[in-house]
Amino acid sequence: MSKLEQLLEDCLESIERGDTIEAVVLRYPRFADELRPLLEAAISVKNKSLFEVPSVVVRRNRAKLLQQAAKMREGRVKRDSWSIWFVPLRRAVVTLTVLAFVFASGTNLVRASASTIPGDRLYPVKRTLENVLVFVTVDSQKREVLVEALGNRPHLLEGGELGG
Amino acid sequence: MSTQALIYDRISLSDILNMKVYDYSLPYSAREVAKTMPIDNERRVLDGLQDLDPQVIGDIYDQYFSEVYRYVCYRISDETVAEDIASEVFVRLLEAAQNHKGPQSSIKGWLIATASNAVNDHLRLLYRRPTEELSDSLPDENSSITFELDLREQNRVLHSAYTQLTAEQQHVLALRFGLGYSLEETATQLKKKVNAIKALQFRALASLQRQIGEGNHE
Repeated sequence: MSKLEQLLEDCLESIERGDTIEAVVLRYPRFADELRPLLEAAISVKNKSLFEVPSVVVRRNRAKLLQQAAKMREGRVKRDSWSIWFVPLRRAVVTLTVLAFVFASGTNLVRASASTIPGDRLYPVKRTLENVLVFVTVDSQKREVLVEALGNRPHLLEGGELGG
Repeated sequence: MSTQALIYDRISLSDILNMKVYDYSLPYSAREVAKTMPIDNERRVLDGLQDLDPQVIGDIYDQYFSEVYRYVCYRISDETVAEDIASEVFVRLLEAAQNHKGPQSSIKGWLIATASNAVNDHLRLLYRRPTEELSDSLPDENSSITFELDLREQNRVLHSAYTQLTAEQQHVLALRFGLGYSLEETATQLKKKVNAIKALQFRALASLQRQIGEGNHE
């Protein structure tokens, strides 16, 4: 910051306290020619300012603002009542869509793994499904039949996975 | 919190709500206490804005509208347009509060910054679509009318010179001389250091003085 900038600020403070421009620049004769026009410009812009806001302007705009706020409140109440059913509905639709996608993917996967043999990439999927089927079969007789059916496959006998 | 500390500390929302409201019609050094707002209203003000509470909105308006209007008038000097812009600033406050983009600390700072942006937008549009000025009727020899016309001419030259400054220079002069902000308040508002404000103020006045000189020679 230059000395002149600080001097300008000091002079402005003095003028604010009631000193005249001439009285102030006399304190800094070396900078008087530079300071004087700046201080005159400052006084001009200071006089440009409005001190009193007309009360009619204040009242008019207060009423307008409160009216605008009331409209916004009304709009918000309408949006809130609409969202009471819209938001849950939207969530249900999204959830069902995801589930349908997962189900369809899973079904396709199971179908694709049905004809796999040991060594194929999807063979573990087939084995897992078979194990799940055995697990969820509550009836012991049906379970024995199922195990036997799953065990009577040539490739399984080789691996001895389900053999006796 | 002492008045002195309030003046020179960074102004926060709690400061505003706890500080005394000044009579801005007086020079800064002579401002007096008008009224106080209790600090426990801080949360109420922010919540009230979001809830569009008419009481809170009215309080904020009562406290800050005059200052915003005076700022805009200073920059634009067309009182009708200034009123529209000042009014728009408060509507933007409501909209911002609804979208959780409202003031987080200083409502006054937010309002003045928004007013500055709105004025800059208006001036940009104005200079893109210049309008023809209506010609004045011929004056008669009555000395009071002549004096008034001289005064109007001086104001015209001054305002024309002022509008030639950069937006930042106009903003600094409006805060310092239009609203009577201290260097520290101006620095807080512009998010700059005090020395930077002194430099900006100096350049603004130098530029203004140059423009006035050119305007008088035309």
